[in-house]
Amino acid sequence: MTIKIGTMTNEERLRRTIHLQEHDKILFGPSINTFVAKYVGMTTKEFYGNPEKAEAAYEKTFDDMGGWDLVRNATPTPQFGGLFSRMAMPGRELEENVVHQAIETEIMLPEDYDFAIENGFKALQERLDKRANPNANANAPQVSPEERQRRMAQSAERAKAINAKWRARGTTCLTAGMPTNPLGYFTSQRSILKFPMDLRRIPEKVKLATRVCLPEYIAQAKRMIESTGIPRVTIGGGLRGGATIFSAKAFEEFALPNWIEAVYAMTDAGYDVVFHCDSDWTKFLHYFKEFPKGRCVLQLDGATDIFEAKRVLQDHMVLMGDVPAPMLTLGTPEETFAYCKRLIEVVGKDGAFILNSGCETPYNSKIENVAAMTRAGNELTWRN
Amino acid sequence: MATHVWVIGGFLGAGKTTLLMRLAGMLRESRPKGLAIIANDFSQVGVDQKVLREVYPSVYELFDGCVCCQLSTDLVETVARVQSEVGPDLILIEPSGIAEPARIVDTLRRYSKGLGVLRTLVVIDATRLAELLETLEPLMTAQIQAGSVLVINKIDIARPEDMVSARQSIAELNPTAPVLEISALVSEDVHRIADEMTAFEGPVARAAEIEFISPDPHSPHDWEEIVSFFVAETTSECARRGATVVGHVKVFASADNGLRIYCTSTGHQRPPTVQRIHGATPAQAGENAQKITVNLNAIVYGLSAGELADAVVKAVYTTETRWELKAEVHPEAEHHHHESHSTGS
Repeated sequence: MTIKIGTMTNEERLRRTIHLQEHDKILFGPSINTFVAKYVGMTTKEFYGNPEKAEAAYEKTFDDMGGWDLVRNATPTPQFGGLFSRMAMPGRELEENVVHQAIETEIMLPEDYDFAIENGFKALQERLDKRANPNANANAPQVSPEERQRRMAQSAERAKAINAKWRARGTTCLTAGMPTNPLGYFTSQRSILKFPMDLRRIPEKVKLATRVCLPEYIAQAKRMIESTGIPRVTIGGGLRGGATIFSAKAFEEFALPNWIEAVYAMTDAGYDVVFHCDSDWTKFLHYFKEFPKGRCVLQLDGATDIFEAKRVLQDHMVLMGDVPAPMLTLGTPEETFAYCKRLIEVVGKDGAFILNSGCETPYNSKIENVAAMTRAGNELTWRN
Repeated sequence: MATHVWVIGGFLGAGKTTLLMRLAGMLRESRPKGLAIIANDFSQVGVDQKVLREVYPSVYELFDGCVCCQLSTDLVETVARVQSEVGPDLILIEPSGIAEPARIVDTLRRYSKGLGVLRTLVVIDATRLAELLETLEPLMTAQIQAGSVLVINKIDIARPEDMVSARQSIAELNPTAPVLEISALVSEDVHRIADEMTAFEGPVARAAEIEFISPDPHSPHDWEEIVSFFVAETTSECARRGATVVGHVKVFASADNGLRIYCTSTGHQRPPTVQRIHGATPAQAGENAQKITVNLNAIVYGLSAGELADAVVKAVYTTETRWELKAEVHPEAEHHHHESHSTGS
């Protein structure tokens, strides 16, 4: 097939990239969120507290920097806090101009596994959210259930409008979102201190609870896709930190089988999958060959050896990443540009690559480094 | 003046903060420019951390940001701020219990300025190590292997079988780091940990005699190259292991044909200076030789005695391989470890 450069939409490019087909451009999709607050000179308190201002800041940063191909997907305010039930927010528990923090503490008790087995995932989330926040949910101040529903509907409408705007501007979104993974939820709600002991002391209970919660997780992922119209979703394995923290034995026993099932549930339904893999997954790269070829994106944050990942997963899976956070905050523009160039030339030599910051572009990134990454993402990525 | 930094690593609940409090008290007294502490977010803490803040004014809080991407960069910025605001001799850092100390040290080494000794002390909970190694093997292995000093903690409540298992696991994962066994809560021996940490600031010395033997004779010029290579390799190996200063690496090499070579190196930025002294019989000095005996004396700062010994062994091996030689290392002269002292005094 002869590809004429510049004739595809970004959505077409993204699909062809993921499906390991020929295309005309390495896509550039930096994970930029709180950085825009620094860029426009607003506090993180304002950023989190005022969605309209946050969106305006994002658009200004996009326009000033020269734009990119993949933008974040605006989502409604979640009903629960996601993996964590308690969050420390700037201007509330924290100083006004810092990044929000997850509060890692034991909310879930060992007997809650039985509750999950009997009542399911949503019921567990409601129970633990009430326990952690008896008067409010993780993200909203104290409001009545009716007011909470009204605000959720409003934020859903706002998210739809934002996403439509960005489609009209020719960008596309990588993923409809990241539903809360049951095993990841257990890891967070039990706390990283207590959860490893559960794997040793009550392994069958953990496995059964994960298994029981899996269908709801898959259903939630499909709902995200259907409500946004984006045919891709982020599906996690659940063990936070992956190969950096948990043993291969624990991974194979507790995470991998359900992960494979969830991914195939998506791909069999015609959707593609994104893996957001923070920390060092180098030792676990071979497991990704268990997932369907040409249907998944492996997003790395700079800790995994992305060049080794290319060696292992070439012709099987697209890689995305991985300009490291320390480079963006502490490095130089020259270093950043050179690294992006290397990524594009080596990891992207066959087109199966999407340039991104590793994890999120940190709030305190140097503006000139983000500009250098953006320049590389726009100037060096056309294929001919 | 360089700021020494120790990262106090170890899994959640190992006793890091308890040990940190006691160490800080001991180390502060010997520091003319004081000590600063950078520690985990204190918002969900117990009594120890609250006391820490009361007793030590120079305590900087490090938020539990995303361990993957935020922690290291925040740490670099916080260290710079501490150096600017307080200017201490020593900074003790207690990061999150799921952090990898080696990554933290790498980032600090790469982006921080003005650091001297930059090392990790790892606290290990004897009562839980076996369990943690089973489920969190990569994290625990990485933490233990990163330790320049290892502390087996909670010996007051550990069972004998816990201690046996802990010692064995540690010996397998990190056979060269000094290991101390204490109870951070009640032990009188915490000062030994402070001593081990401070020793890295003082010089360590190594003396060794090495015979390099070649299957074919080498010219005096070649032997000069070989000796110079060995000295440069030794210096580089010290730097790779974290030596803050290479005081000197000196060798005096002699061959049976009267050849004498004197070669020195100071610091790893410069090539070594080579001086060749002719032997007593000048007519013989130009002849080829198959063997040369090298007497080495090295003094470095920022390494343990074991690390310096390792550096020398590695340099010998590299020299053998590069020049296709065989080396015999004779029982070295006793190495001596000078009395530790702060480089600031």
